[in-house]
Amino acid sequence: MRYVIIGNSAAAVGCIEGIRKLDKTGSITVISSENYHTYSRPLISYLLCGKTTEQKMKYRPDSFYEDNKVALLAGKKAVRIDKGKKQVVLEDGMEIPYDKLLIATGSDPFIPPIEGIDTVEKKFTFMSLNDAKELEKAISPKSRVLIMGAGLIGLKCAEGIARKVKSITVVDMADRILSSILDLDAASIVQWHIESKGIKFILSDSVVSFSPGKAVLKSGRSVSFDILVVAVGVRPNTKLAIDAGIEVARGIVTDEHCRTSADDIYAAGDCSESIDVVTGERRVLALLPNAYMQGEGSP
Amino acid sequence: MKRIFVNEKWCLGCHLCEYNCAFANSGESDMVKALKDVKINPLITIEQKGNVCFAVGCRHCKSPLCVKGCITGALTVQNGIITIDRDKCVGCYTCILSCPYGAIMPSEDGAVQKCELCVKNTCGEPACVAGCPNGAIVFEER
Ligand SMILES: Cc1cc2nc3c(=O)[nH]c(=O)nc-3n(C[C@H](O)[C@H](O)[C@H](O)COP(=O)(O)OP(=O)(O)OC[C@H]3O[C@@H](n4cnc5c(N)ncnc54)[C@H](O)[C@@H]3O)c2cc1C
Repeated sequence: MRYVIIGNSAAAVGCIEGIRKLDKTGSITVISSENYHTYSRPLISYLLCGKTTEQKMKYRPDSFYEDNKVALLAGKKAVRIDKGKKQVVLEDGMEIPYDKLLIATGSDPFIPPIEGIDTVEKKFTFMSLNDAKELEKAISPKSRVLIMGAGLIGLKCAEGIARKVKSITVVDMADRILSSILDLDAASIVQWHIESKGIKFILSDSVVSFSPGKAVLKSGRSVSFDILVVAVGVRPNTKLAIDAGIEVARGIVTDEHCRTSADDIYAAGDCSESIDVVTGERRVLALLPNAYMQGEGSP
Repeated sequence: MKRIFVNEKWCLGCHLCEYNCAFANSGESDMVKALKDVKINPLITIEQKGNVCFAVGCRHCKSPLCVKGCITGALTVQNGIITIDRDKCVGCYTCILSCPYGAIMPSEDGAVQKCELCVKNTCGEPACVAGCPNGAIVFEER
């Protein structure tokens, strides 16, 4: 059996460990656009504030691929899934045949089409180890940072760089921080705590345009900044699936066994959607334990 | 593999297991030095209501939710024992939320702590079992 996995994060690792419980000999190939050993994505903020190191944030030991007999193609991007020929095509033209394929491509940051956003020179997202490294290079104790989005990722970024920059302002159109997980009362407690660390919030407001070094908000107010972090949300990375004619709603549609609409193709983690047992509704539930367990359950 | 099992019928609720656990993992060689004026934070705890009491610690599950959910890879299974790399743990508490038994807990230094069957200390065999005066905690293969 030839297993191929696109992605090299929690869902992929879950899948590798799940396969090896059942099949010790089949070949496993992992295609990863990020040129790294598998690492814990949530730790990028801890890396910036010095609570972990690149070595310690590895999600599995150095010997992981060898121990599990995995061929890792790091720094290689899958550009097409050919369902007919049962192969994945890489950017460099290489063709990888599969018997069973897992799409574990995670999500991409959403960049809202705001007037002038393309002209912002020091603009970052906060999703990957490379994002964290680039942001770290750009900041200095003099930096005034504007973060768009008071969700988990925007606030994790703020926590990571709080002690390394001059000021941080977080703007969000919701009336409270962490609006997807907290009600007003709980949000105000957390907000008070974060403000006590010197971080400023502008809520119920949003950026309508950028001019050099300045963001103009809907309320008419403006905020000067040197560095912009865009953390307004993520989009499941579904392009490969859509192009291959696999059913996609918000995420890649999967059943209770993580099967997609295409034979022998599975999807797991942040790129996929499945039934939430709590609500009974389909949704993308972008959390690391879900990604691991979906990946693990797919073989 | 041998695991710790408890028999609530025999448990006296004396909490000695908690003290033996705290001592075993204190790094001290003298129990008085280790525990005097110390608020202990043991890896096994007595659950008690009315006449019923029993010790609760990690069951070293075969399909452990804490390990699967660990966001850093700090929790691993080593020879059947669920082990924590406290250096890697960032204290996100996902494991505390996902353990069905409440057997993982915060520690003073930010990382989580849990029972590792006394393999990392000098006891060799679990101290809670050795010190249980009524045989209510046993270490055996089932
Ligand atoms: C800052 C931050 C903090 C977080 N904190 C937490 C937390 O505390 N707790 C929690 O549960 N979750 C947290 N999350 C969410 C968690 O990181 C994700 O749920 C988890 O990483 C999802 O894993 P995944 O395997 O689905 O995808 P991802 O981790 O997104 O990985 C997908 C991988 O696929 C690769 N890929 C994509 N397309 C291709 C292609 N075409 N070819 C080859 N490779 C490709 C990508 O490069 C990437 O490496 C956090 C996320 C961020 C960004």
